[in-house]
Amino acid sequence: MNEARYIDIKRFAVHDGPGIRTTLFLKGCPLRCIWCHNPESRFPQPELAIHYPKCTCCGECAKVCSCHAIVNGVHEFKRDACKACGKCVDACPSGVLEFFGKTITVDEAAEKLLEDRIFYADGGGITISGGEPLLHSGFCAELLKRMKAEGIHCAIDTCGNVQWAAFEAVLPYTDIFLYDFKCADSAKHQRLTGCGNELILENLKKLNATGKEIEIRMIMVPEHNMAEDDLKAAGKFLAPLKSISAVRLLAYHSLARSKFQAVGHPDTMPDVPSPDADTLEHCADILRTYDVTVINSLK
Amino acid sequence: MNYAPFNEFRPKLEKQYENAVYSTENCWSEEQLRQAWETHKQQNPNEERLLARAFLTALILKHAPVGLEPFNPFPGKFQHYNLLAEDLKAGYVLAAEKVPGYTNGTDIELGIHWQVDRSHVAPDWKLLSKLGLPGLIERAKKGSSPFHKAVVMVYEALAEFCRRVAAINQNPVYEAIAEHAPQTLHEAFALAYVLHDAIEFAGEEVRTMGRFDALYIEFYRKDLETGRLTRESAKELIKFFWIAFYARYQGKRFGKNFCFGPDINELSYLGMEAYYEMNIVDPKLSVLVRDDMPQDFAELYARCIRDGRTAIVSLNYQVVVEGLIRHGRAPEDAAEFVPIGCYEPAVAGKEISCSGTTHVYLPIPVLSVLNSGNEYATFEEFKNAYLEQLRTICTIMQEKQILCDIAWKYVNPVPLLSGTFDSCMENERDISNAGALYNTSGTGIFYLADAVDSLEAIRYMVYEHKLCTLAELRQILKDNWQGHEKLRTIALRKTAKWGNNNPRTDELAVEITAYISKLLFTLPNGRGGTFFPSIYGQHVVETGKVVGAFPSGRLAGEPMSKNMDAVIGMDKNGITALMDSVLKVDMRQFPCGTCLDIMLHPTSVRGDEGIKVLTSIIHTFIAHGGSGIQFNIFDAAVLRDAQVHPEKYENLQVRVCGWNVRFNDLTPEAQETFIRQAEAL
Repeated sequence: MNEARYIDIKRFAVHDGPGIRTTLFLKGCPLRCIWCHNPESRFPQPELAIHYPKCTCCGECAKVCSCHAIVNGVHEFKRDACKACGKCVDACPSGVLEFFGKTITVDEAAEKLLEDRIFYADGGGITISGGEPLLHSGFCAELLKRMKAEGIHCAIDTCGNVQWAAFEAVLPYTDIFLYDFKCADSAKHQRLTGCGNELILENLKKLNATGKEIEIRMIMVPEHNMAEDDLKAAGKFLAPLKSISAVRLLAYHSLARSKFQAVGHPDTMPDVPSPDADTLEHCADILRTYDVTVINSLK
Repeated sequence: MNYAPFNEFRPKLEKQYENAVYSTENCWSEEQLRQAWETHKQQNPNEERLLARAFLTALILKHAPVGLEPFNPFPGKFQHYNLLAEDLKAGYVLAAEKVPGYTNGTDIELGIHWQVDRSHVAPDWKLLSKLGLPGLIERAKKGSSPFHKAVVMVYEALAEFCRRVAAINQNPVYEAIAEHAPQTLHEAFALAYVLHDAIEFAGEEVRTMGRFDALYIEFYRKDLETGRLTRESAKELIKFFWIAFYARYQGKRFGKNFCFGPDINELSYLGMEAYYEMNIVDPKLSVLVRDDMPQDFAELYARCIRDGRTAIVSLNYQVVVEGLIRHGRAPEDAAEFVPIGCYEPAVAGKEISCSGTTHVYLPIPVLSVLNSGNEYATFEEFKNAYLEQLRTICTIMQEKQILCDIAWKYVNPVPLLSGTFDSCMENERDISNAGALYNTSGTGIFYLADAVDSLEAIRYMVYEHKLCTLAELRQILKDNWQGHEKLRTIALRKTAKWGNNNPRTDELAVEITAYISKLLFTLPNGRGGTFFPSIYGQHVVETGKVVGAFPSGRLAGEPMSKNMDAVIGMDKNGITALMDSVLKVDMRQFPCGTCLDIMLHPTSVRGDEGIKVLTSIIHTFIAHGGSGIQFNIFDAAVLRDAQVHPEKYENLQVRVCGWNVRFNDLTPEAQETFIRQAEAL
């Protein structure tokens, strides 16, 4: 696979693996986490996002595409008819319209990722995230191989819910896997993400056996996956996996809520507050009783 | 020796100037001082300005009331009754008489500023520590010129002043520095402090206290060896020393520079620890970064920055040295530079760079060319006309500045300062009379991003997409974009902007900066040197208020861009892209300094990993040829809260240009500017 659809390339990414990195976010994800922070990355196909609060209703988009109309000072959009041609994005002078899901080739991605290479030398590198990057394992493997040849540290940020073959494809070129762990109980996992966790846990065990460095990332969502039992079950599962260098606790926040509206998905974000540093520390302490190294991302 | 606990005395020390109490022993009253000065002037009506100024300085040092502050390891206040400042006015009058046509001013239509700069000097601190006052006096006594006479007069008076301070405050340290070169850390600090204050009251702002760790390491080591100090008591002493500099203006002026590095020693660590603990807006630190800097020291000062002690600028030692050598400094001189202002390098004890003499406002000539009414068939022609206009205004600036350079010796000769310069002693001239070895006139090249973005917007809108003609754009800017909101949105959003690693703007920046650097080095000043370029940009709010709309989409009255930064909110690809853009400019062309501000959200530098992120940013920027770099680390929500509840944020500092102030002390407009920038993160 020489190309993939992507949603963003973020430079100066300091939360996607060690050091200063550039992160490529690919499009398409097998999970439907209710708290998803990147809803624009869920579907594999291209989508138009409309940032309504910025819209001045100038009508330039309506001139180039009949999917848009300004009716009584309101921007109306026929999402079902949208072919995601992107013409309206070019016409919009205010940056209201954003196109997610442009294709990018390995060559283009490599060029972009190398732009900041001087900043990677001090322990940073590049990360492929998503969505679920391993849905594009062929693309990732080619891109990572290219990066490795340049001597760059490579990370994959995965939810783990893909065929093992996808891991095998990128294994030789990946330095660290950032592996999401949403919750240990499969039935609950099904409720929270739309999918059981059997494959995820099985892949994690297999990945552990390869000896590749793994950082576990657990997003802590109050009232959903951070009860004592959840954490104990997680600690029990993770403790024996010795390739895990650390478990990083991330705090849920609802800043992405506006993105659900922008891409026209039903808003499923839990209406709960973001946990503070002390709350995360309490969670960390529970996990630490299982002899795992825990990083509190708020400290 | 143990000092009183610093924290206990801190509140009192912070007010040591405004609450100063003066002893009435062994001194003259204001009336007596004024009488003596008047009599002297009457008896010597045609006295050379240098000698008159020396006489008045000496008179005050010898006879003015001395501060009574026995609790303070660094006493040394004097009640000067404003006499020296009053006499400065007479100096300006004299200069106007002697140098017809001389002015200080700003021409906002042309985009230039010029002045007699009395705020970017420093004595040879190294020599002072080595010779002490008696050594400097002895050296000056070997000459017989009026200049030598003036130097002897002021230093003898300063020694006498130290004896009076010692007597009144029972402080043997001050007796010692009157009698011999400093032997201990306390003596070395005290000597630097009294000379600093004396020069400042004599009307020149001392902008750097030199390389702190290099200057004082031997004193510190010796004191540890002899048991005079412990590491802890030395740290207390440093705090007492630094707070005296804070106390002068309490964070409301530009601040005092203490330089660290490039050689990192035990005192570098101790000083940085003291600085962290003090958590203070002034003094400010400049760190000279060389590739052999120990990582633990880099992390120590990154921690200061991360935790809100942001009055620290990092400078690239190697690049500055190369730039100075390329422009005529001897290698051994270049190696000894210190930042003599916010971030403006000059050779310590050999160079007077007056880095605040002249400014060029880069975007203004874009408007001048546009408003000329001439038509330019291609963008290339427009750009060439712009460069030609830059040349024109620099030449006008030069003519005006030459008169300022000539006028300086009538305004304010400062033998207290010049007496430490080897070259002044040899050529018998004060620094105000071109006595330094290197006499340069710093030119701040201001508002780079506004100029580049405006030129690029013209290229895009007028020449490539033909969205308007030059004549139409002229009218649009006159109307401050009113009625042309759509075009303005295009200017703001569709045209390339400096700071995004975009070759279109970056190549323009490289071309303009190279052009003006080369040009300024060919222009002689009035003191036997040339102009000396730097890229920074201050007074962004104040200048912005009086400047009209720009082709870039900027509205009239909005703030200008700062230093080498992007226009606020226009660096949309993050700080690495901003740095990639900046690194395309060869900083060696700007040996008078450059600076880039980086604004970060606190979450990107949280924890120990965050410290590594900060050191990586600094290290990478410097390893690839960047020079000055400094930080603000803000959460916009916190700044908003600070506007509403200032009492909760008394220690919240902001890096303004090359200095820090408390957020609460900023004007509402300046606060808003920082908030806008933080919101764009």
